[in-house]
Amino acid sequence: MSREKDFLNYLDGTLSVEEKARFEEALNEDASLQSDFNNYQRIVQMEQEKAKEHFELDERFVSRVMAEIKYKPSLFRRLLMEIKNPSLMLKAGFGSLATVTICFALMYGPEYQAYQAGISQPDAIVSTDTSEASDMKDTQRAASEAGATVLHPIATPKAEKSESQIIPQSKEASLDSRALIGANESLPRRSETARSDLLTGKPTQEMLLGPGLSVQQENTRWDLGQPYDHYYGRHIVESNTERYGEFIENNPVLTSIEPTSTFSIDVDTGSYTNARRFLRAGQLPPANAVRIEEFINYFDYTYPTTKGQDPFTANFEVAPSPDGSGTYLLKIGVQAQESGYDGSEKPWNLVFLIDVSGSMNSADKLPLVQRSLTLLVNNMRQGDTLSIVTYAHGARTVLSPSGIEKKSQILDAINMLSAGGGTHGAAGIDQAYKAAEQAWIANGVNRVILATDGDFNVGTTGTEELIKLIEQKRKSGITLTTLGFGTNNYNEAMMEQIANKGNGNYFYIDNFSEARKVFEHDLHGTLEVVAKDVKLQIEFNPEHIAQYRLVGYENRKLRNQDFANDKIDAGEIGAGHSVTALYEIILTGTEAAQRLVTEYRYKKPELKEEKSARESNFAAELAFLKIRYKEPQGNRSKLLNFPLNRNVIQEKFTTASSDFRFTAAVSAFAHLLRGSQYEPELSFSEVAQLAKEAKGEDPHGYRQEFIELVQNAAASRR
Amino acid sequence: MLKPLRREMTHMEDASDEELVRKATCGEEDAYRQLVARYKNYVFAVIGRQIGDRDTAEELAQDVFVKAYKALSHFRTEATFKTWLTKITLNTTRSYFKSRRYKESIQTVSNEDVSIPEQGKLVPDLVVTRDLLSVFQLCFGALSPLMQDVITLCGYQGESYEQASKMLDIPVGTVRSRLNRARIVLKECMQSKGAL
Repeated sequence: MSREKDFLNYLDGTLSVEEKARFEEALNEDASLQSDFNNYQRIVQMEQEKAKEHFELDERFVSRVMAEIKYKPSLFRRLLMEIKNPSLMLKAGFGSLATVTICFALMYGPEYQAYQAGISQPDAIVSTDTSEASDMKDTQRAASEAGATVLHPIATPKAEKSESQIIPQSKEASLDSRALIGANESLPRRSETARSDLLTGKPTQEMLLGPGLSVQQENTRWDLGQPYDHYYGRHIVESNTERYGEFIENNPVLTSIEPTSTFSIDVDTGSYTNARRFLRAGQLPPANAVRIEEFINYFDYTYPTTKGQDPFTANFEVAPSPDGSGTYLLKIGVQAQESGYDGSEKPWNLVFLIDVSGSMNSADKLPLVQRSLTLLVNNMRQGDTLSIVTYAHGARTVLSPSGIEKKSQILDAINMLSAGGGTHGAAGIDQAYKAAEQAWIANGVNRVILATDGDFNVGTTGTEELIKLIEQKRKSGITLTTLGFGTNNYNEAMMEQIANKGNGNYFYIDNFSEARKVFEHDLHGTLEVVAKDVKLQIEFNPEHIAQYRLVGYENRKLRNQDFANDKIDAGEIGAGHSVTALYEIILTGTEAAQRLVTEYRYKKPELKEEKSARESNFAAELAFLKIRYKEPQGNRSKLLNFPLNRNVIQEKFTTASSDFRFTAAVSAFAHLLRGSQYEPELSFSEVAQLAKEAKGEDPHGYRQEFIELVQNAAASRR
Repeated sequence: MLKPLRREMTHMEDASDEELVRKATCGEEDAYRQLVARYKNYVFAVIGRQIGDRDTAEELAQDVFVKAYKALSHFRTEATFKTWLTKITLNTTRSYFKSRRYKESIQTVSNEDVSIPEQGKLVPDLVVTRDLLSVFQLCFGALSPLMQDVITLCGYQGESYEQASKMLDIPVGTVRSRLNRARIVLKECMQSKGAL
């Protein structure tokens, strides 16, 4: 038994050389000791086995903990704790004491009364934050002064400066705030003027985002479902630096006025994953973060494919809306051929462009990027090449183009990445495209994959300038995929637009399983473009359809005359990908169509009279779909035609295919999240029920997850 | 005056634990949110490796952070936040093992396991049907609480003896001898179940 102590010593390596030799000798001689030692070692092995078990919690956990915490220190207690802290006392010395004294004096003043009555200045806080975010050094210095700032935020010169920068009219307010230190009398006046200034004079977009940015952020929707923090006097969700492009939903169109609708396809799914992040944290996403078509296209639908010359097949389904409003839904599914329909797999030339700026230094950013890229590397094949370019203050080529046979080198380069510094995105893009040109594969996939949180703050910062840069690069035949990561200062508007302009696609990766969806299940579709500039034009037959509304695709809409114009850019479609579009239509002769007519008092679109103008040849046709696309390397578009027969109309929603019903549920959910004016008369729980019934086969569990999200949303609405 | 504390999320990510604790003590929730985000997986792993049931572990991890928040003002800067948090975590799991809830949960499991064998049929040894690690977990549960803690910290979490001695408030030598003793007990336990 006493010898067993040596086991640990031996394994820890604390034995001296002689003792070690003696121990090993004893092991060799004594068989029972040896078996004992082996068993001991196996226990240690099992411990190590346990240590490998993976334990990870998502952000939801943090939110739950914070919601659990009810304990809030009183103002008085907070002050006491500040005084109690010795390091602060040393740092601030007499200054702190003086401030505390003023605080005590003010605690019984009118300002305190106003504060208690709930008058605080949430907007002022928001604007100060944003301006400071652009100036990292100053913020850090402000952090070191945090003690003083906490007690007396308005007294520091920094705060004064930023207030007056953002709201020019509030000079009076900042003057008053200076007066505040000395004179209690001015307090009520300050609080009133400052408040009215700050509330009415909201900072403009130029102020928030810098010149040249047309992106807007909608604040109003945040009020709807967000929990309100009465303690801090503002909404708990305060991601004020996340940016989403604003858009207005498509309106219904009378077929008698405009029977044709044209749009570009969109296979992005980032909007769904980004919204999922909010919902998982128990919050509702901002309205502009919800793009309905991306929600619908996140899911796989089974469309029959035919092995033919054409890269697409089109599928149609028409059935009533689930909310019983009398409208119908027309679902158009465009399915691209699986990869290698021409019998060959294309080699890949990939350039990873990785943002390693300071903002990426967070568990859900750079480490996740590394794991995602490792996954992609593991899925690469012989003949593929890869390079890595990073950018922070400047761009740096970490790995020059290397074949996949140097896999260990590639993985090392990925693992060595670390974050820190500025964000010189434009320089990075420039260098990445150069690397792609260097390793150009004539008949292959040449693609830059940008992984970032979308925050460009040095160099070419305007979205428009960046887009120009990328459009210029696109002509060289290199496409761009953007991968969005992280929260807080996530710039979605930028991510989606540059992927769009770079003939690529955009994904938002919020966790590892999403990375697996993009880089394992859908990898070929992600990388291999089957057709580019794919445009859809559908002409409705006014005889059967009185009104239509395109669901989603707001920023993909095209003018009818642009359909045949090959100079106009449109979306790309990857191997095996499918694109689904939904129209909400009103059939003639239904009750809903009758309602439509009575809405017009002076100018009645005489639907019945127009029937005379019909061409009897096409009486059986409901609509006519035209698809235009270019081959990946081609410059001229080709046209495909698909007539849609009237007999596809189904009488009941319940008899429609499960894919159709699921799409309807997804669309309804997205409408509800947007707070759309066209939202169906369904509640979240009804939508969840719809989705449950239409789950069908769900091999990767994406639909089950959707159902859970809807239930989450139902809970956070309550 | 005393405007609501401004949120400084950007540099909270870089702030040291001590700074965050200080801010959290002053009522700044975001500081604590950052601490939770930082240590959630650590706490979850410490509990999860002892208990083996992820759902319960998550619940307990939540308790740990709520407890820690309430006790934050008692936190002394002599120890690091991690050490202090580990102490709370280990205490929480210990009290869970003592709780009625845990005893009931074992009861239900063992009731399911007991089945009356048909006459003339061979009853396979429990050990054969389960894998090695679950026997290990079983034997682990039979260890004394202190031994469990030492194994969790040094064996599973890979903490150094010095770290563990701080977290457990026992001398380094004791950590070593407990670890050795725990392994021997585990070994004997697994041998008795025929797993080694």
